[in-house]
Amino acid sequence: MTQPALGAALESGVSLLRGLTRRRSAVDDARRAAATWAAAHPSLAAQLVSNPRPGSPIVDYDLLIDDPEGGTIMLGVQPDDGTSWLVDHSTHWAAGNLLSVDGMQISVPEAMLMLRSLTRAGLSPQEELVRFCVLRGAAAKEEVDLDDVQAAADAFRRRHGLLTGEAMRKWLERMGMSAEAFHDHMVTNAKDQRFRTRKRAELAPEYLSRHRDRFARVWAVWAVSGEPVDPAELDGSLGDRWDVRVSRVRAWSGELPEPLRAVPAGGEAGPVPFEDGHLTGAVLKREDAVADADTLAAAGTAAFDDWLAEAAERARVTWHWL
Amino acid sequence: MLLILSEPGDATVRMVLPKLKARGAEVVWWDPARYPAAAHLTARFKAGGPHLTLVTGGESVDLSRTTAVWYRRPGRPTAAPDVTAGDLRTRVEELSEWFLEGFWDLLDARWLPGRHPVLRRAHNKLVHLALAERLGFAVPPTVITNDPAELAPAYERAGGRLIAKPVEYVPFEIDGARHTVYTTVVQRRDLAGRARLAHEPTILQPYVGKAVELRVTVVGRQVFAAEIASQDSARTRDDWRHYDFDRARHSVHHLPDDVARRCVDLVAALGVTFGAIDLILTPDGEYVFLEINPNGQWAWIEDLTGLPIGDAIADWLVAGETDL
Repeated sequence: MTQPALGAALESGVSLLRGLTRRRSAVDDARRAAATWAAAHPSLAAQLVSNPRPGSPIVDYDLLIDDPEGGTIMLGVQPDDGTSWLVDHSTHWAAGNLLSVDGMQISVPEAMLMLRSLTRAGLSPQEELVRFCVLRGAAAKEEVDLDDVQAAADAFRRRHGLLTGEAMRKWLERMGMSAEAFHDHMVTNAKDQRFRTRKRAELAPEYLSRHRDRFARVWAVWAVSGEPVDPAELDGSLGDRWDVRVSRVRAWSGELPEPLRAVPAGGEAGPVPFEDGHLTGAVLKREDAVADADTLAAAGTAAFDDWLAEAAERARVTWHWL
Repeated sequence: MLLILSEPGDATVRMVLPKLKARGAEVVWWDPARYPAAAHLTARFKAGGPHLTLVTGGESVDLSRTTAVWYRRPGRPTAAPDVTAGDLRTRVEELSEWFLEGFWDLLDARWLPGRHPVLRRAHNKLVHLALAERLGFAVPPTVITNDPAELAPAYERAGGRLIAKPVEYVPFEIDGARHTVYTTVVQRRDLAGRARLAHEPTILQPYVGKAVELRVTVVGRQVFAAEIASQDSARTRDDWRHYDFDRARHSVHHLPDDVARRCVDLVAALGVTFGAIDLILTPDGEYVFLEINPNGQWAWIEDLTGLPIGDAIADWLVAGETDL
């Protein structure tokens, strides 16, 4: 390529860059335009480089082309579109946040910490994060002392298998977290725990009185199988049947599979369609609910879960990245 | 009687209100955004001085009895809903602002942090940077300009470590979403956008290395210094307003006496009674002044450090002396 030809190519390249829309949503169009341009200038081996700015919809473009005398020329154009330098380098207000719940911003690092504690089956990570945030907001004003914080830290370390100082140190290093930041995190956990305990105790009596049917103590046995099982077979004579899941439990009536929950002592249920197969079961013994400590604790746990689910349902939630 | 001018949802006022009540203060909390749509203000001029009355919610308040005003987050005057023509609404609201400015000027009371015109001047970075330097603060060599030709030399003078920031916070949107201008580190390739500098004044400063950042809150002559470990989080390294409370911890900081005194002097010299001052403590142990917000937030500092700023504000408001 001759020097005048290069001049014309540079002018054309600048013109290409001027015409590109500097938005993330327009990058594919920009690539197509650049590919067309490159095809029209095969000796330049042109490549478009897009550089989306973090936390912003704005994208910068550079065009790399071969210098006929050897090496590479990079073309970049900043059109004067009336946007000031600072505005052009501004950040979306929620760029560092994953979500907002009732006005409370949850940063990406906070969300990552929360995600490590997600445990509930049947809930999506998004649903659990919202519940975490609702809980955190509600628990923010709880007063905790050093013993509470120590208990939260001990529980956290047990849950994560961080049983030695060395394991703890390595974990903090991996998380990029200082000991002080871990302490703060445990203060938050302790507040959550205190609020949870207080709220459970507060909600339990009324919840139990409204849902006594869920807190009868029951001794039950059931089988879940592909083929229907006769109740008489539950006494252990399952014969040649295989791939049968048999459960024999002492539980609260509300924890039983739905077809068994209202079955009286000595009663049977099934075989009935259940999940992907059939369920057959029997309630061997049943004691009506009483407001003892164990029952109130179970009622408090269930009441708290309901309260949290309802609060999460009511919360104003904005996902900033989904 | 204490007059608090702030929006009704102001959580900071809610923090201080019980402290004022505990000190036996009579408090009127009112938002000028209710004027003139839902409140009447009257100034009567007579011998012995003007008499000022607020009628709101069916109650009449003699504002002439006001001994101290806390000018927190007052809303702007709002025309009544039935003033529907756009130019008439604008007229009503502009006239109301004029009236209020004069009305507040007539209040013979102590102001925290200060009257609006004084606050406006104190908040201006050009004003307080120059004053801070005169008072002996270390101030980064700063250029404030809209001249594109200044960008590259500033970058070179800063050894390739230059930051840019706005002269004032003004809300704006890009593609319909609110954006914020944080302290922005200027990369070499960003120099290509120098022509954009022409569109607004921009502060250019060399990047100041940080051991920690400090938020110093001055109430009257009391100084509360909080340390923000902004360098412990990638998120807050260049600007702690990106907030990462888990990593960028806040704690109490003990300022050297001369720096603390300079903070008090700066607030006084600006004619205000409160100030939230941002400083950097460099790895070499130097305290470098960045800016002062004469009506800055402080509640989160009290929450995270236990510094009794709310008590100091309550004390200042109820005190009879001006030199607390």
